[in-house]
Amino acid sequence: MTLGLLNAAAILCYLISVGGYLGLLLGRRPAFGRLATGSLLLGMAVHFLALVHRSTVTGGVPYKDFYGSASLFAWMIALVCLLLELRHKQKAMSLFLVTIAVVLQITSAILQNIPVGARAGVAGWLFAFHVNVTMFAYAAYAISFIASMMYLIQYGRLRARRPGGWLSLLPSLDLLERVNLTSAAIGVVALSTGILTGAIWARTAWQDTPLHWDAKITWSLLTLIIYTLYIIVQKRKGWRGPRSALVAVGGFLVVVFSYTVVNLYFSKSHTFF
Amino acid sequence: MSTLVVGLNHLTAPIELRERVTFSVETNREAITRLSAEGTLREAVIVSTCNRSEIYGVGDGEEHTLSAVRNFVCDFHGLDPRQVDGCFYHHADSAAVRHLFRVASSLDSMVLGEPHILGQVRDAFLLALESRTTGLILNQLFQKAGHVGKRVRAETEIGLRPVSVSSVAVDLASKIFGRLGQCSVLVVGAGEMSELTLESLIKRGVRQVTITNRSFDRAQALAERHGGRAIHWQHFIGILTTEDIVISSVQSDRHILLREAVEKSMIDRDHRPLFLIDLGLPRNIDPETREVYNVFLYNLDDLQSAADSNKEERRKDLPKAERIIEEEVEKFLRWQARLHLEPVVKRLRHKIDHIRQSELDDHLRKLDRLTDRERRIITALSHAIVNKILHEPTVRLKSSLDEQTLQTVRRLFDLDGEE
Repeated sequence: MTLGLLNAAAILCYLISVGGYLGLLLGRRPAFGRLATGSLLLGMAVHFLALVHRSTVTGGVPYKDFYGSASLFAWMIALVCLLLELRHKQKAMSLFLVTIAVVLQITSAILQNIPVGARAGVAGWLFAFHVNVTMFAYAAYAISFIASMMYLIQYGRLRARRPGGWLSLLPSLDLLERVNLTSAAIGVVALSTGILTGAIWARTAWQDTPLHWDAKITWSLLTLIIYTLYIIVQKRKGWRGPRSALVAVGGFLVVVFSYTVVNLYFSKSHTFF
Repeated sequence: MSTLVVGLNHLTAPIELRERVTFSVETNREAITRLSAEGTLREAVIVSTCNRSEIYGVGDGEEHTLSAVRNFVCDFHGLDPRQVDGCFYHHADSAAVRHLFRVASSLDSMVLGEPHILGQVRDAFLLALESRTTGLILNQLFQKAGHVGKRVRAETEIGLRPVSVSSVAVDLASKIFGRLGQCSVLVVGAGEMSELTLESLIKRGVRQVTITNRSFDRAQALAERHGGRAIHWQHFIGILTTEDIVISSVQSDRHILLREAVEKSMIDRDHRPLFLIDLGLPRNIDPETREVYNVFLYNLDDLQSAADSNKEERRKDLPKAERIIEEEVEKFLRWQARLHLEPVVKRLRHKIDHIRQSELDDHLRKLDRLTDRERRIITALSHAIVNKILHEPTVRLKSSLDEQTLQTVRRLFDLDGEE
């Protein structure tokens, strides 16, 4: 009951925030932007309470059901969106990010079923950290993806000599490139930390069973490689610009594949994150 | 008393006349001081730009006041009033208020949405404020005009998109490079358009300006004027590796920049984006260059058509702007009506109370054997009757705020005779 209420309140705040960002884009009044960021903050606070409440009920971080995982992902996206606004002082991308967050959160709230009782062996702060930091990395990659797509659209428009229309509200190529780089770098650091803490935790938690290689690890390593490649090439000869943006897009496709198909069908120990 | 405006602008008067009827800061101050000192107008502000000269004032809205203002302007500038027949327009009351609000919002400007007029209107007002030729009405009117101008700019898109070739080019540059503070510009050849574009870029803070021309002396002259450096013609292809923006306008039958040259320098510049602005007619830069990775090539036609379509976009928001202005005119008129109302109500009450007091005194004198208590009761009775009778009309007047009703009340009670 409490969880339903908290989720609903968070969704309401996020929807107001989306409305605000939309108003900012169309009406260009700064008050809309303040409203949007304000309700985003409020939504995140309520959402945080919902997440805490959920993990006390289930006795752990969401890793074995999609709905908790989606909700955590939504919160992480909101968080990275907020960091982005602070770092680059612009809100043009927030509309898309908060929309993604609210869709995830609605899906999660509608479909949730909460398994009660802690599972043995997956508790502890290290495990919680492992899950959270990995989700944070996914959120950073989502931003890198949106920045890449916006970059490609903007690049295409400018090259085609059609600078008018509402798309002229898109940020500059330079800014999108910098946002992309920042979020990819944050994603690489966070995902490496995630993989590392996962490995450490697995060693201590599963001492008696022999370690096994999980498919998720392969795909996470691939993700890491692609984004590291992006960071390396994005200022290199012949790769600067749209080509490196495509690399970042490819990276995100791997992330999506890893979060959905790999979780569902290939992985044994990473059901839902 | 009404608010009025007498003036001429780019639509009603030819440039020769507009040039003669401009006011500098000094002549503006002199004119408004004379207008209010001579009693033609109670308050006066003159807005004078290259496209318009307008006298705003408060006076009676009758024809003779308007022609007095018109004659004053002719006299001030040594013009024969018959010469300028038909060039002046005038508005009074709500039409004058609406006119100023439209001017301040640039709806009356030659280029819709141009940003300078708002500042010019404000400067005109400040000058009049400083010369003490404004009062209650114009102070409120011009402050409102500033507010309306800002509101229209904020809530509509009439000032959003660039509508000149040079501003479109600068806008594109900032879409590619973000802040222009790190960018360097190369100007190849010199024309009016390329100089305009360069000036706009400098205003936006480009880091370095380099100029080349077939005649090195001309390049040097231009470089000195804009704080840049000049280089010899034969070197300019070589420095493409370091420049971010190239503006080219050269009289030449052949392309001066070919695809191969650009491709080669793109390799040397690590494929950093390159923005080529070709303002030459015939074109200076091989159109094939457009295909080179991370190169953005715009020629004069591209920029012009972008500017034209932006003008269309601006016009789309006109109805929205007009709605905002109507709303604000309404608000201002209500404020003004309240301003007229208060003295009328005050005088009405004063007059009736005067009658009450004198009648009361008369009759109390006749009733000389009353006790103090009885006197007090009779006095209270007179107050009560007056208040009860006046209550309803006062409330109705305040809610209607209609000039016609006010006039009727004034006439019915003969209120204009007393001050």
